[in-house]
Amino acid sequence: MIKPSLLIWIPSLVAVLVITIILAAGLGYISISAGEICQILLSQLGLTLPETIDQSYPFVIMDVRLPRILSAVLVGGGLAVSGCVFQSILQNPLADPYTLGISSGAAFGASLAIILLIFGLVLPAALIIPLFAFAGAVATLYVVFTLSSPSARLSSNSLILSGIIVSAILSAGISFIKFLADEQVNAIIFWLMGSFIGKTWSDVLLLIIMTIPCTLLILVHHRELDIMTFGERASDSLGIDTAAVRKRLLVIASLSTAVCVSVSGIIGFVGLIVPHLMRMILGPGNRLLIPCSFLFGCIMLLCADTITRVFLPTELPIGVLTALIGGPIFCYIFRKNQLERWRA
Amino acid sequence: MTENTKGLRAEKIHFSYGDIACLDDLSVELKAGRFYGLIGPNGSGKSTFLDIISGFISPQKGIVYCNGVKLQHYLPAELALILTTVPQSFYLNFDYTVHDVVMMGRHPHIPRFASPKEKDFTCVEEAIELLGISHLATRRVMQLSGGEKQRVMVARALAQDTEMILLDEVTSNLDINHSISIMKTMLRLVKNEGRTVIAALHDLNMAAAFCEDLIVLEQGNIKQFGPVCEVISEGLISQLYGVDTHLTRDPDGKRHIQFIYR
Repeated sequence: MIKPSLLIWIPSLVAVLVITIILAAGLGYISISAGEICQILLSQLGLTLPETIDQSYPFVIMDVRLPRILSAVLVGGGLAVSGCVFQSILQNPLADPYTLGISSGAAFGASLAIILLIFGLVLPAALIIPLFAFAGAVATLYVVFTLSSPSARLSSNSLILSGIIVSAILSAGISFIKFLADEQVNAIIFWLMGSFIGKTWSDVLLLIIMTIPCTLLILVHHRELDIMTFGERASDSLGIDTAAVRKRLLVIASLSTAVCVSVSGIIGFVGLIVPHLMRMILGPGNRLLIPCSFLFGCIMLLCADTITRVFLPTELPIGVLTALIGGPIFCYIFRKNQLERWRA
Repeated sequence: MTENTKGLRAEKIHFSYGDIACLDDLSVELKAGRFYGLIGPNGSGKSTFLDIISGFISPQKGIVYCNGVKLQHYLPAELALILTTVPQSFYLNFDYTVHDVVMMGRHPHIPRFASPKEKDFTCVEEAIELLGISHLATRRVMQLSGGEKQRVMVARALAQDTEMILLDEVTSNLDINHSISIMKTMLRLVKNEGRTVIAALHDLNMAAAFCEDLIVLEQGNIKQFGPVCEVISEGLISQLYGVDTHLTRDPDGKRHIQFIYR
């Protein structure tokens, strides 16, 4: 039996996402109408392009705007789904994909790559920075797991605590690297705040390879995720190998996050707010929550990126924008919800 | 599998937290189809004993057999079709509805890519009805009182439809009427359907009134084990808890424990 809400929510969110992508592709220094965009997209499938359309438009859409738009979409979706997983597994609605220090690890890796480049390492920056960021994120995850694993069960408190400790050390490391970078510190600061400038199809491909399979794997575990919010004893007695499933899902969500972060830099709040908002609207059941969070995460980050790209006089780093817009909205909704609950 | 291997058997169980032995060389055989009460002072090892026989933790020494098969030979999902535990404490951080929570009890019965079937819904409704929480079915669990949450967790275990049910102090948060009602339900499941219930209790009167056999734990080992009327005595309670009591007996043989407060 499929709940009617599943049939309403997912198609509507997909529709909104498609419309947002087309609108966003039309916006920018050169404004292109939605009809023209559809014709350009169809021309990629082999249809002939009408001659009324400017010959530079296909290049603008296909090689400049779409890779950036799709990167933002996939990073938004990936972070939002990881947020769902971290919140369920750590039994804490305030957890997000960065709780275990993955962001700090990636930031440290990226900073290290940037400082090495400054000090004369001759390697392509576009390749070496994401690679270092990803390695940093994975290494951090490994250290956090090792730190909290004597209990063998990876209890949520020991995981969160290990995450905080490792993050703190890495933050100090990042500060030290910034100090070393001296006058060229801007490159590091800019990376840390996240951006989709100059994303290419290879970034999109990498994101597709990671975020989509990870999301599907997570979705397959939707009932386990629901049950694990009740604690280990409860989930063990329902036949879940809690320690194994928890580790498996944390690794999947973390790898997905690590790829997102290494492509875009650190974008906060999406992984916290999107699952939270969706949960307020749809309830906590992960079967509906995971796909809807993915789609809403896509839409939200694309909107944010389009705002910085099109509407602001200078490009504001997207991480700053998501926090500046998302934070207050979140406060308002959270407060409203608390009041309602308090009155009831 | 023969009838007499049904049930749980623990052999020379040893479990310690660091240097402190929690259970020491404990052996016991719990037959299928009976209602066992597990009593003993705080720290006597009741919860650890339940954790071990439910497979949640493994003993450092000794073996537990469930229906004649070593506990560690079961896959978690297989064991969940035979045995369930209602833990003493659980987390509630997300606002599921009561019905959703009880439906989670059907998890071991539902294949990964399937949805709940007719039978699952029937089981859930029966469990909700048995626990007297039908009026709460569409409510959100975080808005419920402690006792109501406790009953939801018991309903979830019943929806799991297992032959053995382990209860860890489930009546501790409940009003007396709900405690009695849960104990009566459990006794009925034992009598009518031949299920096995093992309940850790600290209310001695509750244990004396509903359980058939008592396992008395003291300092990690079994002090006494047998039918309620043979186990409960003024001397035992005084030894265990250092409290004076006065025992009375019903016409039908039930023991009542009166505590003498001095």
